[in-house]
Amino acid sequence: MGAGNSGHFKGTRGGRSRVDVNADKMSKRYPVTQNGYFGQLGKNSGVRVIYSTSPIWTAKHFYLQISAGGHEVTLSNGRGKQAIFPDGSRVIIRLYSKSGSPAVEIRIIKSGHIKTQKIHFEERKK
Amino acid sequence: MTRWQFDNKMTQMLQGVVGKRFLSFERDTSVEGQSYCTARLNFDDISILLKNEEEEIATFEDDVVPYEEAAKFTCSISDPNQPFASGLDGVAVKKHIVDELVMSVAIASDTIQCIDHGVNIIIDMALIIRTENHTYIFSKSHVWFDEVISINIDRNIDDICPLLSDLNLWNNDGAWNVTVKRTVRNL
Repeated sequence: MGAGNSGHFKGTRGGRSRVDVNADKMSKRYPVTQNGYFGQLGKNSGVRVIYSTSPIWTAKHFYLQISAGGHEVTLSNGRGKQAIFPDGSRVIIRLYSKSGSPAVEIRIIKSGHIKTQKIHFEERKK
Repeated sequence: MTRWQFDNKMTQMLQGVVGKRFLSFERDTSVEGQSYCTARLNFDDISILLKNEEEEIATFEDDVVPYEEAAKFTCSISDPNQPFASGLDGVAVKKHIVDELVMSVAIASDTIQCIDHGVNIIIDMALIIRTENHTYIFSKSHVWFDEVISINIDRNIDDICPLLSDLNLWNNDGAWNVTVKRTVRNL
């Protein structure tokens, strides 16, 4: 056994990860901090929050863009969807997490600008 | 101290395979060397489903989200006559033949601490099965929501998951001083 990956992927130019490329394309709507994180700091280390008037729509929209180019599979038991990239990095969306808010998890394998993080999508309070 | 560990019943189950024949293990084929969320270990008279699955954890709290979900190792008895169910829909599974006598079983645990910021946790990081010929390691990463089970043969756990790897989720991206200690205990 060793480390490797399956097929079905689109490559990137210049050796940048696909997640970094996707993040660049999304940056106007979903800005990234200098340290490679989306949204605002959550209360816990590694947790970020993106506020919107429609968290589920925003989570789906975010996932659609950040997962572009990955090979998508559905998690068993309806737990969510996952996109796997050539370097083993994964992006996972859980619309109905046990904590109540939809969440997107970004698991980075190859070091780049975007960091591993979990993003909750919360309703913006008026 | 918070514990994300196998409970006593699970530990006894794992201890019970010492002296048994490790027949095979099953994983999904999404990524070589890994299985997402679940793997099955088959011995001569017992099959064990190993899971690294998110569950609600009360460790992390904030004003908006009362609980966080984090991936934790568990195991349970599985019916070997039922097909192994992958953690990913529609992804093929693969059975790796082992057919070796189990000499010992160990669990590697990491204690991650940053007391000033409420981080004080023990996490079972790897199940290590030593047979007469090889060492099989089923491990997870420090990324607390990562449900991947890494599967390695004859490698050192410190090489598979270096002690200081992926700590940005625990040390607030380097702002906090977090310590990590690893212990490997034979069952």
